Amino acid sequence: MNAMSLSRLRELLDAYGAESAHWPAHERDAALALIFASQPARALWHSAQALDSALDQWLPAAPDAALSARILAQLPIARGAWRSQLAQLWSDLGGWRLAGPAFAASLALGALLPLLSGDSQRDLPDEDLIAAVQFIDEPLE
Amino acid sequence: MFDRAMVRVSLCLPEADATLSTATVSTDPDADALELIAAGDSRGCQRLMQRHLTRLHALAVRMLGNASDADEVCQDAFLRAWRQVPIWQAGNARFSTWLHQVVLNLCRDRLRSRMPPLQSDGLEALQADGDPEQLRASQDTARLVQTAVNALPERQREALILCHFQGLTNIEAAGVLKLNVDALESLLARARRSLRSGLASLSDASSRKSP
Repeated sequence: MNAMSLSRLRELLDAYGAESAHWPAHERDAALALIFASQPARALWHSAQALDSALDQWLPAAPDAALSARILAQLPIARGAWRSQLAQLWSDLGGWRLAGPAFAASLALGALLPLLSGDSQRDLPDEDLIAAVQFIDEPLE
Repeated sequence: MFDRAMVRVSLCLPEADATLSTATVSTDPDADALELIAAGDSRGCQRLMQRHLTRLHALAVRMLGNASDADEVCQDAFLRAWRQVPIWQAGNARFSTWLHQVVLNLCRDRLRSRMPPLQSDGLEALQADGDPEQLRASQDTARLVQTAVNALPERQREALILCHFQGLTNIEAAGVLKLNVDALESLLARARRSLRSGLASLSDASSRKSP
C-alpha cells in the first residue's frame, strides 16, 4: 500500500466526500491510514463530513406504492408468458402443498356425501324401475 | 480527541468493489431477474423494481424536482428494460448501471423540453435575485440543498447525484456520463466546492432576510 499525501487526500475528499464507500477502491486503504494517523487529515475529513451531512438531508419521498402496479400493467407480456403466470397463480395458491390435500379431501367428501345424506336417496325409485312401470302402464297396441 | 468509532462507522467499506462494474452478467446481482424477463416472466421485472425502483425514482426526483415526472420516467425506464433484456450483452456493465443511464437520459430529455430551461449559470443568479419569500421557504437544510444542487451546472449536478446520492462507484458513474475517471473527479470537486460556498451563502441570505 502506497502512502497518500495530504494534498491527494484533499482532492479525494473534495471530489467524493467523507464516505469511504465512495472513494476509489485502490486508494481507500491509504486514505484511511492517513486519516487515522494525521490531525490535519482528520480536519479535512471532518469538513467533508459536514458537507455530506447537509447533502444527506435532501431525501426525496419514496415512490407511491401504486407505481409498481402501473409499471407492471404496461408491460407487454411475451408469448408463452401465460405459462409463467399460471405457475405464479399455482404458486400463489400454495402449489401441490395445499392443492394436493385439497384435492384428496374433495374426493373423500364426494365419496362420503351419499353415505352421510341418509336413506332418502335410497328410497327414491330406481330409473330402471321407473322405466319398467312406464312400460307396464303403456296401453298395448 | 478523535472519535475513531465514529469514523469507522462512516468509513465502512462498501459491499461491492468498483471492479464489479465490468463483471459479467453471471455475477451481476440482477442475473436472476434478467433470466426471468428473458423468458417473458413478469416476475423478473417485479424483482428489478423491488431492488431498484426507489433508488431510480430518487434519481429522477433529484434531477427533475417533482414526483409525478419521476413516476413517468420510471415507467418508461422499466418498459425499456423489459425490451432491452433479450438483447442485453453480458459483460459490459451491471444492469442497474444501465438503468441509471436510461433514467438519466430520460431526465435530460425532459429538462431540455421544459420552458424555460433550468439555468446552469450557478448559484450567483439565485443569490442576486433571491426572493425573500423564496428564501424564507427554503430555510430548512433540505430545501437549501435542493436549491443549491439544482443551481449547479448540468454535468456537475449529474456527477454529484450519481456518486453521492445514488452511490455509484466512480467507474460506474464515469461510464454513465461517458467520461474518464479523472474528468468525473474534476466535476465532482467543482460541484462540492460550489455547494460548500453556495450553501453557506444561501443559509446566510435566508437567515438575514428572515424576520
